[in-house]
Amino acid sequence: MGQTGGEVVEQDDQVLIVRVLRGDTESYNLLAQRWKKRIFNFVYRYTGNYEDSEDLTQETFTKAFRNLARLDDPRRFHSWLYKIALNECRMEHRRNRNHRHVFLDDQPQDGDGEVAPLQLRDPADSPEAVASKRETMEKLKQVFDLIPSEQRVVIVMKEYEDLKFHEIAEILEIPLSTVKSRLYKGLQTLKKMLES
Amino acid sequence: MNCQSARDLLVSVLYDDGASTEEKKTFYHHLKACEDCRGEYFEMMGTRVSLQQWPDLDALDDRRGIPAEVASRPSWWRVLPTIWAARPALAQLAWLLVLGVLAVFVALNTEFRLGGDGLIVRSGLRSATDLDDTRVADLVSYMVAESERRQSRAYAQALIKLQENVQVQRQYDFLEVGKTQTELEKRYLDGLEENNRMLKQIAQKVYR
Repeated sequence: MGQTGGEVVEQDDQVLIVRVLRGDTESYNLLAQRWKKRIFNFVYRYTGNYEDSEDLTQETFTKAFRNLARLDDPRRFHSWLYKIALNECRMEHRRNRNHRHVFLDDQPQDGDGEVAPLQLRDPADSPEAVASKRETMEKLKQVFDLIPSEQRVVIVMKEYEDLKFHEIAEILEIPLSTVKSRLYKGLQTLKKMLES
Repeated sequence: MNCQSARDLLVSVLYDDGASTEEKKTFYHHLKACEDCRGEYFEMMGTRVSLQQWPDLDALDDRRGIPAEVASRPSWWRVLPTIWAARPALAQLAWLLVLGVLAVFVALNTEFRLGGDGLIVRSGLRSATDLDDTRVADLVSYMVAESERRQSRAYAQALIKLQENVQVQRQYDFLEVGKTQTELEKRYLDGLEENNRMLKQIAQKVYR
């Protein structure tokens, strides 16, 4: 029986973590490169704000680097990283309590302020399919902003980050049954909102 | 299995996480018999399909999203104050070492001479190894070539991005034009129908 992809990644993470703790900062860059896209997308789907997500992702990795020595079990690195990212999102939310996201103005932009191409296009897609994808995505972003945050975070972690229920329970520090009931309620809410 | 138990199991089966083979078998058996639960299960699956329409994005600026600048900071610099606080003796030793090195450095680079002009004290760093002109010229031409290569690459990347944007915009424009044309045709046909109806009414009144 061979190793699964997840196990390989986990083992590689552990090797890198040990190297970082021995003072090899370049290994931390590799570790961050490996997790950057996942954490960025987690934060982006949770906050719905592209610019904030870049800052929050950077802040997550900065904090993780500073506190890496406190990580008890390197095998739990990714859960720990998601926990830091979630804390950053929550702190940001508290800082901007009255801030509401305006999705139409939230297109990713590059340094020159140009709208960057969204990663929606498959060469085989017709213009109608591209338009439909974009429309669904915009709608998803809008309804995500409307559902309760405790349901939203569980959906993002399960649906997009593919975390196990017990990992989500550990990150959110809630019972397993609560994770499942929040996911169930969240999916029901989403379904109703997408239909409306 | 009743409906409540089936709903308790629904997300575990839906995501194939935490339900045993036996539980799954019982769940599917219940779905066969219960239309409500079956409907809910398939609706949830539909919602999952919709969720997958939100693809992953790349962070645009690697320099910002990645802690390269974090990692480039010397980590010992951050941990040093902690070590000093924990071991003051070590801190004293380090200071003595630094002072000693400084003293040796000063001594090696200072010249004392007592002559006819009195006591002369001179200090200064020794000059670094000189680079010959050929080596400097090589370095400069290498740096110029490297800079040009980077600029060309950045320009090509910007061009590709621009082309992609234009392509996407063009597809949307086509769509919009199509929609508008359909709308106009619909309005025209509606107007025509209304005119015919009114003409009919007038004709009926006239012939009556």
